[in-house]
Amino acid sequence: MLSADLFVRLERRARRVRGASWAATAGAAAAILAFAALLATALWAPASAPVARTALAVVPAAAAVLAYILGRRPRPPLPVLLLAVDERLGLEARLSALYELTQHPGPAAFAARIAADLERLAPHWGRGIPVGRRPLALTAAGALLLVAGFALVPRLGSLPSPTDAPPSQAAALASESAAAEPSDVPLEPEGGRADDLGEPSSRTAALPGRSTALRDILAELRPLGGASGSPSTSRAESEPEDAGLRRDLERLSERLDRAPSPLDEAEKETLRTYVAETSPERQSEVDDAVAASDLDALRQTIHQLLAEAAPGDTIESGSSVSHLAPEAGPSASAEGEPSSRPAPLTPPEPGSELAGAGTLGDGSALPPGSTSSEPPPVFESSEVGVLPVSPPSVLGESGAYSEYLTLGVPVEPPQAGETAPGDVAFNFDQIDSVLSGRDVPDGAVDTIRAYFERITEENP
Amino acid sequence: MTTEVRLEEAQKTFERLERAVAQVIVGQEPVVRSTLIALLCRGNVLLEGVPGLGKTLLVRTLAHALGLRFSRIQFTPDLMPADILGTNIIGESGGARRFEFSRGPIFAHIVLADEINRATPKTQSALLEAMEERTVSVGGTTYLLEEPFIVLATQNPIEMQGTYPLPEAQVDRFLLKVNVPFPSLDELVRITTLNTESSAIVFPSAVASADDVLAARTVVHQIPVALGLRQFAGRLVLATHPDSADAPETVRNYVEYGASPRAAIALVRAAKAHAFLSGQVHVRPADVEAMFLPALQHRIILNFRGEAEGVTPSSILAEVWRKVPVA
Repeated sequence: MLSADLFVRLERRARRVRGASWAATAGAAAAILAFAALLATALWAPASAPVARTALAVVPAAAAVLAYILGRRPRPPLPVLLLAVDERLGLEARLSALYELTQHPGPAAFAARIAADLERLAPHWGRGIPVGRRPLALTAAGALLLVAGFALVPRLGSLPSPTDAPPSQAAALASESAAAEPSDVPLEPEGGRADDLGEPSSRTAALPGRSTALRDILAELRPLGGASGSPSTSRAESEPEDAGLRRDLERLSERLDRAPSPLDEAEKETLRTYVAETSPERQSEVDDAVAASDLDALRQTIHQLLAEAAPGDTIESGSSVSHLAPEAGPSASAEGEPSSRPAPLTPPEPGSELAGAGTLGDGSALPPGSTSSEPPPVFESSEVGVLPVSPPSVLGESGAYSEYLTLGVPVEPPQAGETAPGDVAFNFDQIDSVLSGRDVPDGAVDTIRAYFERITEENP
Repeated sequence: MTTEVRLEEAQKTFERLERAVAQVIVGQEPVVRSTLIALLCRGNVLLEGVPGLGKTLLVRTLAHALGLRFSRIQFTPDLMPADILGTNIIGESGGARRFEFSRGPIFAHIVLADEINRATPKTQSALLEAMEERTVSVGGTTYLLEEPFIVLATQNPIEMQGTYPLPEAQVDRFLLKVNVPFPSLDELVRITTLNTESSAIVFPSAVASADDVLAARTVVHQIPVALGLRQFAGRLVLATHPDSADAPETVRNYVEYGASPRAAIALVRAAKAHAFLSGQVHVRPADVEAMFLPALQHRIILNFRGEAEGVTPSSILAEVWRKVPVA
């Protein structure tokens, strides 16, 4: 028996189908527009790629929902709808005639016979609601574009953007290096360095080829570091150990000054270890002093050992670093961070205070003990390395911790008037000598040299 | 009597009627059906065909099968309206003389107006009132025609000399216009056999009565037509107008005037009767399609270009049918 609310159900279904049809049309149209916007963004405004990606997902969905709501609202003309259903289901207008008999009651025999015919035919009412071809075609096109768009998103995602892209080439390298392997040698310590290098983020984004080249250079370095151990990494690992030994030796010296008494076994071991690590050539001298329990000789030897490490006191003033790398190294130290960062590459501007190393590039004060009036020390290639900062800093309740300064790559300050501020001139001979002094593998030296040459191309 | 019983009886009656007519009339099933449809719809039929196709025989056979009075009027140029309708004559009754109305041949159930286009327009128009109103007015007195009443007019499409084409107003009053086709070879053989091997044509005995026809008319009237189909019929009629937005190109090019609203009425009514004769209790698109050409083809007036290029209304209507969707 035909349901009494057959026509109501058909009308509801038709409204749903129409809503879906409208939604498909609107969604597909919106998807097309969003896809076009995504492409345009990728081509001309990569910085807006995240917004375009979001729009690709949100705009078609919102348009489809709105169109569905609007499409469902108006009631379809039932006589036309029923005749269309009749046509699609091959009912020869029986459904329409039955509806006509419900609206204008006629002989019951007619209605009963038509209803019996409909039951016999047992049509699938759901297939009777007409759906246009255009919404289907548009839906297919929209879905295709959505799939294509989302397939494109990962590629676009590699493009830098204001939120996820580094502001400079060096920062990009640093982030990639950090992503590749946890490194304590980031290449870019400060965001402000981008300006110094003359590399605004937009410019970097517009130079994907250059970024790729630098990325390749880094990729060459990674296997070297992984196979034999990166010099900087091994050095960084040993620096806290050396500092600890030195502190132990200093405490030992203070104890002897305060209360001269023979060394116990632990103190002897501390002394032996320090000598073995720092001055093995004096091992026999120290052993003799310990064996003889000659406290004066021991104190003198310890003072000599500590004095041999005295150049670090000069370095920790930061003035020497300020000459070579006036910003990054000292600024990191000034902020109290354990710094193993490489020296920045930008020389001080001619005539600026930085040339005299009184302040840091970001305007922060130099570490305690430094003197702005002191002439900047010039380091030889043999002096490069990681130097501990003394005395140890105390940060809140965390207690004392060690600070280190890393000597930078020497560069030649440009002559006044010859280059614009921010330009960098590299002395590759010096760079090679510094790298060789750092026990950098030969293969890596070439790669590092290529790195500097690469970035020099952007700042000739 | 319930409608269901009347429906079944009426349909069986007309099935018997069609079979009885088919015993005499060889072929021509569409013509026979169109005639019965007009009978069921209280309409009139214009039969167009060359002489000798059995038009008169069809009408006579139908009258015999229905047991109805039949009259045949041969239209000629000198035929007067009174010759059709009747006239007042002086008669004596009880010693007194007075005018009495002498009924003409129009007073019958089935009237065959043979070669109607040979009479003058004045005489042709004498049929207008009878065909539409089912009344005859003579000398200030109106006489009712007895139901069922149907006029079957014939005209020869070839011999046009000395003819008076029917005015549009009169043509519009025919429910259907049926082209009587030439019989096929097999039909010709059967016709020859029937007319040469027997002494005379044996007309069928009455298988139905006037009451049966009137009862069937009631049933047909109640057959439902979906609103969508009525709208479809309306769109079809509108599409025959050259100034209509839905008119196909052929209509714009060759039609002077499209079908009248009476055409839409005729189409729906004829579709109902067609559904009834097809054993249905509702009108289908197929019924509309079957009656589309007979109901509209005589209501399309071609323009000069159409006449000059020999375009036929049937070809134009075929184009209209293709262009106008059902839903």
